[in-house]
Amino acid sequence: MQARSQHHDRPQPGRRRRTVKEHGPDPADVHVGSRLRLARGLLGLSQVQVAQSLGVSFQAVQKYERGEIRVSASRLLQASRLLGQPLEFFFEGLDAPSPSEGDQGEFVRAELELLRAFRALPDAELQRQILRLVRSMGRVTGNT
Amino acid sequence: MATTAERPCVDLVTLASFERQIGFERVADAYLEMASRCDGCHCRSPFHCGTAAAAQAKNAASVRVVAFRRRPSLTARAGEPAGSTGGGSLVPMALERERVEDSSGNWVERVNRPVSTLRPAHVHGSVELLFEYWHSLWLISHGTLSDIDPIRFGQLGWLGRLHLVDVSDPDPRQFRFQIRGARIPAVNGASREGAPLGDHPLPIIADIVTRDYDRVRREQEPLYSHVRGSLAGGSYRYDRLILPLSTGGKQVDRLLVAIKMQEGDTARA
Repeated sequence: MQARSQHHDRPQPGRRRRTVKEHGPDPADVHVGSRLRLARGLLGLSQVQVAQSLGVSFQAVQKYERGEIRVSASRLLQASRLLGQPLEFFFEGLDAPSPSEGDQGEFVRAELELLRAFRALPDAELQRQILRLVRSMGRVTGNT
Repeated sequence: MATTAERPCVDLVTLASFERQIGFERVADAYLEMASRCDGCHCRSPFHCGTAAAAQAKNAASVRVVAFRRRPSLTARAGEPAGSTGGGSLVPMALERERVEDSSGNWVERVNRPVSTLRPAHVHGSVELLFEYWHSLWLISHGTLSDIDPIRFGQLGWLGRLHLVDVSDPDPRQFRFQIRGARIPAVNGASREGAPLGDHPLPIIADIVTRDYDRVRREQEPLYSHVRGSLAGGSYRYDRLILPLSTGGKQVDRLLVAIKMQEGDTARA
């Protein structure tokens, strides 16, 4: 169990974890944070008041609003009830990135579908043939 | 009814100005967008248009109002517990009085008082409340601008009565208002936001203001003054609190200037 946990924590080649220190806050977190700040402002509540109601420190609210720490789903739900705004308010104006803009190390939808279809093949021999076919296609295009 | 273009919500515009200076551009844009639709009661400002804010608050979940724990304050004297009102007791003061006159008959007198004369108070709009808020910021992050919560200015009754001054230029005559308090009348009724303070049309004002602001920048200490005088035949009287701030948490390069006008007078910062 411990070995498994260590495996998960180990940085994967090409899948380096994004950090606020190195890369700055994630734009989506910055957006949600600024919407949180706006929702708070519309009610005239201070960071301290919101922090007390959410059960966090006011420094945490400061960091949520700057996008320096990510607001968890449960906390966002709590905030939406507190501030009287629907959940979608916090994402209004946020454009979802296209797969080409996404992290190169992440699986894109097509890869997941391919894997699902591959696993659904009826026998191992067919899977081997498909694998050979994909590899040979990769060699032809020079990508393997 | 005044149209939007004539009279946008002053509080929303002020909040937007602060949010922009602090770095929350989107929040600033949202406030301005609301201000552009302001017709006096539907702009959703939490401070100016009370009806709409009250309706919103009713729809929101109940919010517990928090009692602030008072920090050890600069206002506490040695051997006296913080928070003591010390009603009626004599306060040691090192008053500095300066009177400046010009050849046109204008004069200004400032009496600088130590901030230790500011007693803990809970009166809405009081200089003491603002000072305590600033002091908490100063203890946490040396008054870093990005830590300011402009909503607190509204709660404390100071929105629109504060200037934010850029004092990053080594030449005090180049100091500028980044935000000029919308509820503080300007000399000749003109806002001088963005213009160098040294270019003020009244040299006596330019001299006094730049000297006081430069002092706070250099000493990194608040300056609390009672100001009275006569300019262009009109008399005025106000309290002024100048508070140091920083953009990077080290060097003082911004000032927050609070003006509390005395009843019946007009302030001319």
